Amino acid sequence: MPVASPMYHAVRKTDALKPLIEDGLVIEELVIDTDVLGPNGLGADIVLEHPKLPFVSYPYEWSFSGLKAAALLHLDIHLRVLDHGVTLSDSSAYNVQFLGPRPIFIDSLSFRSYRDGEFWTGHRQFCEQFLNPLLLRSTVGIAHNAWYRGNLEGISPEELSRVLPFHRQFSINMFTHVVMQAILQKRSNARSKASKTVEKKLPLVAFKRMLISLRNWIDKLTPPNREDTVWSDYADDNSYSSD
Amino acid sequence: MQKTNLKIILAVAFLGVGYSGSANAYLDPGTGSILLQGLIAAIVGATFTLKLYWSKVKEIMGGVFSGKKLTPTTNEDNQDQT
Repeated sequence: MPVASPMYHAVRKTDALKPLIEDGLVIEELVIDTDVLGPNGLGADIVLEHPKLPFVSYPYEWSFSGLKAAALLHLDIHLRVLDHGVTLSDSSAYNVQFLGPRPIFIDSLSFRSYRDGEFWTGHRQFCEQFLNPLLLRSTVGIAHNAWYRGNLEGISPEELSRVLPFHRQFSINMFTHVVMQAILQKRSNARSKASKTVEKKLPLVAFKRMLISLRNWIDKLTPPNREDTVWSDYADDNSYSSD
Repeated sequence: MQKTNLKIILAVAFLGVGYSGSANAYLDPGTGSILLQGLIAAIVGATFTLKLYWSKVKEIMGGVFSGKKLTPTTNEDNQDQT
């Protein structure tokens, strides 16, 4: 049996996904006959068919508000499925697409059963691919697109913490998710072989608290006041008059 | 500022937390992130414990200042209520 199959069935036994699909937050899925794959489908347990998206885009192409909407969708979905004992295996921004202006989650197989006390394995990826690009714009005033396009995994906390103004580093959220994470990452890199491994658990209440505080923080992020560019008021200055 | 200092002290106090766990081959969970979550878990645990003790202290102090005698509930009391 394929590796993902038991997890697929375990998640579908819960009521986690159905309301999300009905609300249009997660892409629809239809189980179809495995024969559709022909000889390539030998051994396949399930074949899923999804509606075809009219247009595919990537996070480095999105505007600030697009990336923010995708980040909030990701957190909302994670919070809702956790109530049903389901979690997400990663936090890739590439798992979100847009149907018109509406973000939709497309990776049906990244849902898996939540193990009590487990860490949020996608936290760093969430920071790199959603949070830090948004902070780069809202805090430093630099659009995320060029940096993100050059590094498809996003912007690491270690990189972002180097460009943050000193006085912006000490809000509780910024310090926790960017500065502290960068310090701990550097520290662990320096002593990775010597570090002792200690069994540690993250209580579900703390897991959810992290997601909620990130959601509240991101929801308030806005780009700084924009400066005029050559395109500002272009329509007013360069349109043909009726004369 | 005092609050910030406290956070830094708390953070440094928990720097020694390590981790173990499985990881997906295509996803680096990041040691820094895992250490950070260990720290958050410790803080949440400590807060929960403090709240528990604080509510017990308030209960005792409330009893002392209201002048009521703290008498253990007996089976007879329960029977009277029914």
